[in-house]
Amino acid sequence: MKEIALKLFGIDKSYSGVKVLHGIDIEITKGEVHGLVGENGAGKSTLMNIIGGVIAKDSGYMQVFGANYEPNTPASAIDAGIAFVHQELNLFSNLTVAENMFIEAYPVGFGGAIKYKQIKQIAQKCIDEYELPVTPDIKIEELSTGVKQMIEISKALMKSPRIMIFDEPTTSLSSREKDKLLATINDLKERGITIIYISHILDDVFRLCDRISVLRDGHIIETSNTGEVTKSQVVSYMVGREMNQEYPRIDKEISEEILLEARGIRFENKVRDVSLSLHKGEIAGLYGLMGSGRTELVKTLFGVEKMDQGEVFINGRKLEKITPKTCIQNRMAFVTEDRHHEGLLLPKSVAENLIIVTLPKVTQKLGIVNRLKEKSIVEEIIKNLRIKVNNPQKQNVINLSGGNQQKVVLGKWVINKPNIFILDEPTRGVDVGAKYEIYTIIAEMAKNGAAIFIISSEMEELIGICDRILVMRDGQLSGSVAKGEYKQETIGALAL
Amino acid sequence: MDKESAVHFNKRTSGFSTQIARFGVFIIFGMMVVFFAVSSPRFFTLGNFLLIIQQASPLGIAVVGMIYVLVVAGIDISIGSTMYFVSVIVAMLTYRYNIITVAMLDNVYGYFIIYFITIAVGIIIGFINGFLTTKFKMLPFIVTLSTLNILRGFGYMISESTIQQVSSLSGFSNSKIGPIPVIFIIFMLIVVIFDFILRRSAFGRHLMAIGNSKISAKTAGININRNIIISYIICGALGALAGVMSAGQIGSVALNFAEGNEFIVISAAVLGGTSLFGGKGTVFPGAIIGILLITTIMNGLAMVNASPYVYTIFRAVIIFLAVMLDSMKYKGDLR
Repeated sequence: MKEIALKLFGIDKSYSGVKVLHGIDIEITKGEVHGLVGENGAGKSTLMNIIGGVIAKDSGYMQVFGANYEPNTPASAIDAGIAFVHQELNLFSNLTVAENMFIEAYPVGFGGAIKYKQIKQIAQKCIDEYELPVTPDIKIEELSTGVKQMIEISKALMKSPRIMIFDEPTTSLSSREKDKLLATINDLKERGITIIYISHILDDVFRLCDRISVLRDGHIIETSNTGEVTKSQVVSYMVGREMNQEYPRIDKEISEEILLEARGIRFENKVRDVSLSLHKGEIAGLYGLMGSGRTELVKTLFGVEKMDQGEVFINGRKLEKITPKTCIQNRMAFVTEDRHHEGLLLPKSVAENLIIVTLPKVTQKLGIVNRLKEKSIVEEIIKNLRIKVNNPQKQNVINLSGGNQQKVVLGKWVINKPNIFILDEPTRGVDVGAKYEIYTIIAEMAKNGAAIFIISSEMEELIGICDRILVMRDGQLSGSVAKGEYKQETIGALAL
Repeated sequence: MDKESAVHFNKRTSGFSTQIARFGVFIIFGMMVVFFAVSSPRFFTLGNFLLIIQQASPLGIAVVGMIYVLVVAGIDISIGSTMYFVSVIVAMLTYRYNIITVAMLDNVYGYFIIYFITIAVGIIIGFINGFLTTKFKMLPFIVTLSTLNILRGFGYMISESTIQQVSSLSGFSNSKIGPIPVIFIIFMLIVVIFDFILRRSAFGRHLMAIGNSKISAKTAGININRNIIISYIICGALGALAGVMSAGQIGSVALNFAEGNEFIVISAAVLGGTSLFGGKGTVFPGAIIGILLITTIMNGLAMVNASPYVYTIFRAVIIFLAVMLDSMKYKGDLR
């Protein structure tokens, strides 16, 4: 019987009534590399934050090497010998390598002076050990992401942890940097450090891990030895959700006419040579995991980010300058995923939010807004979208429910009757009833001849409403699945 | 990856705007100096240089304090009023209530008490500013804008809106060791001490870290609120010290004493390379460069007999340039 490094038993967690973790039981044996995989929102981060003492669990207990473990701050995790390497690096770009490594506890000498000689020496030792292309005096801002990550790892190792948790460490690394990271992790394993490796890049997980646990909707679905499970099995564990959401059925026609065509889009290394076309009356979906470049792709299509290469054609005419303004003029609309920051003026009234895009149309001479016209437009859209609001002129958006807020976001673009409608995660944080209504609004717009492009990390939703699903992985389109051929496993395999 | 390519990864050093941002200030400054030197025979003399460093020193001390606050992405615009308020208090104690007698000022003892009181009052003001910005999460601009007006108002109240004489402080403020003003030596001492703290102490590095990313600093277990409060205390104390020294140079505390100094101090800090976005700045040479640039230009304008109104415009233009250059240099890493 091998020693158990970390044992979780019956961990529950709810956020404002919504249960995100359901009695998680997991045992990590000493010296193994344990892979934890799952879709976005499966509960991986929540679980890790509980282990790290960042958030508190509702019930259940944890043990570290047989001793009870009740973390209440990140410091208790460090004391228990657990170290984290996060996706978001916790380095200070204005400080040097050595200063960053010791930021939590500088050794100080006479008069409070940091013992620079000492910290540089130790930093140099870490640098030599991992053959990093740096000196202790280089500022972090001058380094590439891969090197920064190695420094973060060295920093974590200085506390001589027994358990190290890597949270999506490879998302922003080049393939060479990734190889080096994986080699380092193997090296740590040799030294007897227990490792939990969280990722949705299955290739890496299979290469690296001894055992793999799959997390889905807050449940541990399966834990198996790497040799005894295939990739497609893991994918089906990850995505094998029951389809129980209702979707509206609206008969519509997809015409041959292409409304939007993009050719060879490139943006940094996040979008690599993507071409696609959207037809009139079509609802196309874009599936991909976090970091696959899906948000970047649509941002470049709408001109929010400037593409490095590529062409966009609207109604067969080439768009010379791709900026949000020219896109809006060509009757494109874009609903961002971040509704609070980018989509809405929260403390303003529903009416003001709805009219903001259309303001030029209701403005008369001398820039005076025609109140009557504004009111009639607002009322019409509220009726059409069934936004639940009593007094649109008085009620502020911040007081609406998530679903109604999202309808306001949609509404302000729908007023303009866009031809091409791009939606990034339109139903995030929206309750089931409102989701159905949003799907209906989308389908009705397609019926009226618009081309719809929906990005979502909820696969069932795309399967439910789309005529075609494009899948993105690593900045490239890895496939396109037509309606009728939808299978969660197929789409999942394309994305992973 | 070899060392060279790793180092040059993120650098965009070649752009024209980057070069302008780096050297633009010095080019403009150089042109101004040449203009003054040509226009006025008195400008480019040793005597005038000593005058400039004497004028620059009190505000330079305030700049050092301001750098500490700017580094944690804060700002203290109450510094001009702090200077006025403590000067009024010191003047009242000396001349109205005779708690500190003129006789006491004949030896070091009296100055010791005066500057002790000065620094104590500065610490209290700094603590209030820091406490309000951290514990109540108020914007430092608004907090210190309020204290700016409150302190000025209190100063008017205490002094009953009259000019206060502090001529007895002049002995110290205008004294010299050889040809070198004593105040300048004090300024240099303060620069050395506070440069060491910012650059070499754990506290200083923590301030830099906080200015770079509050979230990461929190994760690293740094006590953010305490460190920020201390940075405001340093700013308040050094500002107060600067105020009394400057009052001593002038010999009186007028109602508009130190009015608008916050902008000179802040723009000197920015000219010296401190970023308003936080996480970047040096006391040495930053504070010295910044205050000397501004004082030299002000002195030069006086030498060429520019109209007083031109001063205000020039000052504003310098501030505008400094902040614009700061924004141009800023690459977005820090926010």
